[in-house]
Amino acid sequence: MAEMAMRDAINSALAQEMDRDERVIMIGTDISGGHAGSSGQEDVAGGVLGITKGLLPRFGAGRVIDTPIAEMGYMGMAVGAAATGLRPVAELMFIDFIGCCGDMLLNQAAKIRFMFGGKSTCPLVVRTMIGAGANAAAQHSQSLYHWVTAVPGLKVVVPSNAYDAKGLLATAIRDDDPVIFCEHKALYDFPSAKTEVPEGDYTIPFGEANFVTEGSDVTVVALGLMTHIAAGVAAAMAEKGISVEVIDPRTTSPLDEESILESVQSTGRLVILDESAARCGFGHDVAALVAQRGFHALKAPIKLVTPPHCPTPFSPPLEQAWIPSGERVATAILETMGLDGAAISAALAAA
Amino acid sequence: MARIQAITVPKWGLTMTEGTVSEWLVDEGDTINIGDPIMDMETSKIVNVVESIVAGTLRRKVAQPGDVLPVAALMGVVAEADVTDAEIDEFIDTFVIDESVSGAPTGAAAEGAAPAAPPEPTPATAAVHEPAPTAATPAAAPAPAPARTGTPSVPEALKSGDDDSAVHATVHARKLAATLGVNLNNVSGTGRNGRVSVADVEEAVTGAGGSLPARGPVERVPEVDAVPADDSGVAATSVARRLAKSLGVNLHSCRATGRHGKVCKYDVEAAHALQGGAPAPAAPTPELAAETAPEVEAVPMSGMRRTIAGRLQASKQTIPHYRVSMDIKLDALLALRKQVNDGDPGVNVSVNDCVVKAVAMALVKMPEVNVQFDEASQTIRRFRDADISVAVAIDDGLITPIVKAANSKTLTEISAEVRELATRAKAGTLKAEEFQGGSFSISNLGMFGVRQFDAIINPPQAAILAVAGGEQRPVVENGELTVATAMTVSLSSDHRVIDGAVAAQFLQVVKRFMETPSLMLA
Amino acid sequence: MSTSFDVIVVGGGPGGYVAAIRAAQLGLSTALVEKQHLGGICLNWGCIPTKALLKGAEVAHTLAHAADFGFTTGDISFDLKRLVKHSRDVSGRLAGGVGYLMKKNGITVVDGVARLAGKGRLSVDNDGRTVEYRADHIILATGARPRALPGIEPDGDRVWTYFEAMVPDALPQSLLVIGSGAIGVEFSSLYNDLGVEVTLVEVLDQIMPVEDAEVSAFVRQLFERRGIRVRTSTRVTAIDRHADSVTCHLEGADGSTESITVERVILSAGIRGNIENIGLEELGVETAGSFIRTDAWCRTNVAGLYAIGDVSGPPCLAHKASHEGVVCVEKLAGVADVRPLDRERVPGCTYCRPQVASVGMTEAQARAAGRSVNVGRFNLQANGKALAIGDATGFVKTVFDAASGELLGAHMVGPEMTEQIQGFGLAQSLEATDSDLAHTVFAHPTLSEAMHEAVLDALGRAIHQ
Repeated sequence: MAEMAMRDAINSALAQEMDRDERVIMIGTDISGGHAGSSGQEDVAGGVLGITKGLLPRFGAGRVIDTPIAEMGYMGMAVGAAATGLRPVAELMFIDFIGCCGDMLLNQAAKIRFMFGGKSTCPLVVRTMIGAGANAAAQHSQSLYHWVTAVPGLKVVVPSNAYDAKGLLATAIRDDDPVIFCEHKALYDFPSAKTEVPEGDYTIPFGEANFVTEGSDVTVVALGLMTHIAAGVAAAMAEKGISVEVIDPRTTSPLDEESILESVQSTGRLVILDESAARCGFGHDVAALVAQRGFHALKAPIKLVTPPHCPTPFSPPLEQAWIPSGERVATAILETMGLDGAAISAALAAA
Repeated sequence: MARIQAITVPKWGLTMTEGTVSEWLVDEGDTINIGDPIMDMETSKIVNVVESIVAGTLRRKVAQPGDVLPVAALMGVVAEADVTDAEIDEFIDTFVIDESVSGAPTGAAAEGAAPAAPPEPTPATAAVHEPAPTAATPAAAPAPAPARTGTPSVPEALKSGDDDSAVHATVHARKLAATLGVNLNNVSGTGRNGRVSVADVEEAVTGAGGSLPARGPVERVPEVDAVPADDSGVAATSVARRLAKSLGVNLHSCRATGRHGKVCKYDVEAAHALQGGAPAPAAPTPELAAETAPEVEAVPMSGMRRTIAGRLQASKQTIPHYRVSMDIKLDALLALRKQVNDGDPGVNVSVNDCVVKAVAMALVKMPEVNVQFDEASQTIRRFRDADISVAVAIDDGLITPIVKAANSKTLTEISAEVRELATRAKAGTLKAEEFQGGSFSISNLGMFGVRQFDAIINPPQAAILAVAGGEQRPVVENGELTVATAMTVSLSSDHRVIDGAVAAQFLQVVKRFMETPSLMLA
Repeated sequence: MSTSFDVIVVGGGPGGYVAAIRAAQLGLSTALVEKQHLGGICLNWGCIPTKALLKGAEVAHTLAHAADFGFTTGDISFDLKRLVKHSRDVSGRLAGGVGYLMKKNGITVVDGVARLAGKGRLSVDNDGRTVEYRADHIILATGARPRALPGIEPDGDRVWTYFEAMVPDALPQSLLVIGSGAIGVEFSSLYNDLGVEVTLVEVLDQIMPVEDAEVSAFVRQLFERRGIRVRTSTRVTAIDRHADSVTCHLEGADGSTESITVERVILSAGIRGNIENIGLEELGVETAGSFIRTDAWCRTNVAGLYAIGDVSGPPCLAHKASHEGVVCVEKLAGVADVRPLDRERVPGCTYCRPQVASVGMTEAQARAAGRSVNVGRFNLQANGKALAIGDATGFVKTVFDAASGELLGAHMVGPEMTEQIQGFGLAQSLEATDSDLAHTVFAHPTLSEAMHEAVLDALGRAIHQ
């Protein structure tokens, strides 16, 4: 077993699945090129961020299909391929452009199984980048997984580390339903997202949360990049004697409601750290779940830590202020512990 | 996997309550799998094959061919090889029909308490009725909530078993099982992919007659200082933010008096002073303050000002206004007015009262002007009566009280009503229904010596008449230059619903009434 | 300055200035026209300055009885000018306060003499300069003045009205007061206390004709005991003015005649409304006698024209004028829940010694109205507080409707009675019954216990008598 970056784990999962099943193909803009790759320079970059590097030479242009920047067209192609027997892995470079694929994904891929009485399926995986922090401005920084989570018929994965990414991507490709696989662009090389990854074949089932840390005082639910912020805060809180349980649901649809409720049942406190949205986001869904079914276990109001309700700023300092910070998570945790503003300031200053 | 499992009468369709055993298709000792055909069963409708929903070795046939059994009744027992016959006997003895499956009041039938026998009761086969004595055991109840006592007790049967580390369970289910000493092999998982949850562990314990630790009341965190520590969301100037940090002032505690509602330096210093900090730097000297006093005073908009601004801007932007003006000679009307006012001390009719009367009568004559336009539903609301809104200037705004059904009121009634409404508008004692609605507006600026002006339509109305002051003007009549008292009125109309010719004709009618006022009595 | 207002009030007395303030409070643009003194007669020549003078009389009385409380006062000197100055100072201060209230409420004060120039129009003449004003609502509060009797016209020297009586240069030796209404009785009591020989002449058969007969008789008895000569059912037929005295010729209802020579005469035989020279005739404003006829909402027969206070008829009292000012303005401004003034429930106070206060019907009026009445009385001789302060002269009388228990009237004579009458006024306004009042706890020791006992007496169960 070797330690791998999340980039390499995803690459390895793709190679593994293409090896395993010849119906698996790849479709997407620049997946065989990148850096404006021209003829004769294919696979130099291996996609804009090098995720698909090496796959073209290995599987050929017949299975690694590069397309123009025309989401509407190639996503339609991918859905059609999935409906007619292939198992395509389409790459939507940034989830910000999901609007271009609206009908194909939301109304076709998600609904085919149901519109044809189960006689047809749509084994499609859409790999797509999410997340702020790369100074990519408002149109390339969103985390719209809460949008697709709201669409019945789609499964949604938000991996947070290399091990999960490989296992979850393998599950996604083998799943007969459309899966939106949301990769946080900051995690590809993120140090703490590097994990031991088995070289062989393994899968991680959907709808089962990963307990990043176990604890007894406060439950923190976080996805993707946010799990790393939460884990850092949990370590700092441990030094203050506050035991934090960080849960990474890994998939937002299906959602491991059970683990979240069981955790809140044992801690009585819930902080949700979510990059998706300040309004109607994933965090609000979890809050509503616990408010409805775990209310009597709560010792303190549920706290949400999200970005403000505004587009991601381009200015680097503003962007950093926009992303939920560890300090805000720590404050929220301390608030659920019943500390008042002054005590929290003191605690944070001491940290 | 549970070690002992029951084969029960299936429920084929909503109306099935019982089935007759035709023939067993397997023998005791046979290994059966899920989906294997195990028996032929006859119902009131069909003969069908019962497929197994469990897997294992058939250890006991409880039902015999010919038995008539209710849905969910026990027909056979499947168990692993190491289960003893005694354990199977005990299982049979304590078996209770799951009412949620049978949908029949089996409890009542078993106790024989129902005074009127249900149709074809036949609950009785020896096989089913063997466990009758135990029907009243606590476990028989459909266990609404896990029994929670002070001290947990877990039946030994749940504790034994192989290494359960590979059993699919949630983190907390595993923790609970470890706490209680339950071997997860003895718990059936009901979660996604057969995963064992906390609820499954609890149910296994109570289902086996055990009890769970008491759950104490939740101690809630008391409410604390409403000022959240995190003030990063508060709009503040950079200087203020830095100063606040250095002074230890929470920006939530500061009044935002800066531009765009931002907390500024002064606010932080003031909050700091309030909290007992060092006094803020001395205020600027009067001379300096005078020099730096703003040349422009920012006056906040009142609610009424904002309403006026919003409504009239929307009106001017969205309604295609056009205007038609006309001069009206007032000499006859003024003579009539003098006659009326001189004739009765209790009457003080103004020219504007006459305009209201003339417009009201004109609106009845031309109902296509007496309308409101409902843009949303693209309908024109045509009114029977002329409800005339009269614009009244009040402090910091204007309001339009309505003379309702002005067409059916006399000039003196209109006069008294307009005076009362105007005074009450200024005193703020109008009721909502007295200024909301109306089918037409009149705005009169004559008292200011205005010669002519245009008004903005008061939506959803479709027209407004701007009335200027009367004055003596040279006019040519029959080729002769004479002097007449005249005023100019200007009608603003919404071209979507009132066309130019209609507007012009309407003004003609108003003009006729005002220039020949006796027509208003005719 | 604008000449167009929502409301213009003519007259700055307690009716007019209160109406103006209320109008301004309601958001109406308001002007007040006053020809002489803000505050009107009340503040300048009536209620307030007389009370200042009467306090002086009370002090004189107290000093005279200081020995009862163990004080030896010796020789007491009195400076009339100081007392008059005190009275004028109080007036000046209050009138200034009215000016402040006008300014504070944003009321435009117009100096000058107003005259109606048409419906909704008013011309104001200020030293020959005339400005025309317009208003939707014009409120006349021009007040009233002493009524003159033929042949007995005031001359400002020997025959006074209350104006001169208020600011005497020196005390006359003797004084004859014509008319025994509140003004006449108060001046009689005042001058008597200051050592002047007083004769009080009333044409009707009792002094204070609007008061209950028992109260009137009681006061008359006390006045006569103090040396005031009282002549009722007597007219002054003529006077002869001499250099520094006046001979008054009196004629009784029975035909008897009498001539009395006094230094000064005070004419207080009623008042008449100031309805002249304000343009009422041209507008056709209806009048009744010397007063303007109004409806329950103070409206005249002319559109947009109102009248309040003395000029709209009796009772000619400051508090009636103020109340009408508020009612009139609130009604025209559309304020919810305005109620017309019930003139039967206007309390009256006379600040003679002993004080007289009353509200509602006299016993005779109640009986004349056909009501079956229960009457209660309580004498201050049985009131502890009255005895303690050394002034137990007086009584409280209540008149209840026998059937409903309604308080029809209350009549009080004695110390501090003017301060207490509103207890009965409140009961009337709230329509309290005799038993409601009986169930009310009155504090001990107070003069007001006599009020309670008078109620109990009407029920036949007074405790202390």
